[in-house]
Amino acid sequence: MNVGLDAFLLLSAALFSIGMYGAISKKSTIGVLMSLEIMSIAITLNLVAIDRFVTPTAMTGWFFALFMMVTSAAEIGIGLALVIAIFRAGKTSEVSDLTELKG
Amino acid sequence: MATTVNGIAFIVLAFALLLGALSVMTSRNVMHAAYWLLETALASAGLFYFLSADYIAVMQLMVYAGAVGILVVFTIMITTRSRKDAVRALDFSPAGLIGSALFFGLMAYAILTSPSLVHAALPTSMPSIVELGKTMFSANGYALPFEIASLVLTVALIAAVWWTRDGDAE
Repeated sequence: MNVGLDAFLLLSAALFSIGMYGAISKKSTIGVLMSLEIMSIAITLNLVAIDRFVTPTAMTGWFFALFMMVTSAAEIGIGLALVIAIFRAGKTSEVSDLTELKG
Repeated sequence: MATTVNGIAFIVLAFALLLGALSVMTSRNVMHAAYWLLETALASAGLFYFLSADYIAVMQLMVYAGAVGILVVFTIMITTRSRKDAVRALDFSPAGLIGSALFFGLMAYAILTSPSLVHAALPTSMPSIVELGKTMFSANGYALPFEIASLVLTVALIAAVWWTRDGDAE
């Protein structure tokens, strides 16, 4: 029994939806960043699966996945640095406590 | 290297992937959520291996399971001062649940009703790591984006150090 491209696309859509729910609902900034990581894993899975089924020799999806990994590593690095900076400034890193700019 | 995507391996890894992601959402302890994120990264690396993308699988292990996992765990240890802080109430957002369920429904509908492309059979030709290296460093390939990616990482590294520096040390 072999699975096709649609199974991979469905799996990655489910993973992306779970990550999206987490990014909306989580109240700790680290939780939001972890949900963003889950979303970017879903996108990478999408790219690699499409590459394998559609353009296996051109490897376009592989390069997209690699650059995707670079940008998401940069994103999580700066995101966590911001979490530490926010924690230092206000002794909290809860999203609901960051209300200084609230009108 | 696997030449086809085995159904049983796919089901096991897909289950591990979704279980990990759902556990990140439902863990009340932030540290447990970080470990479940590691499990999610490991399961996705397994799926990449079965898609014949062994290079991407190794990169996934090094970048997500290695670097990002350690970064997340250290940030949790820095920003939570006691065991009590790490355990928190379960966050629930009805609007987020409805929105992401609608998004998944839309995507599933689009995937299942789309024309022949997504139902294509697995091609017999396979990507190879030798070709990947040749394409990446050829002038017509991805040499320039590769250099820009390293620039992005340098900028991110400097920015991360700058943000987390001690504020009194200026």
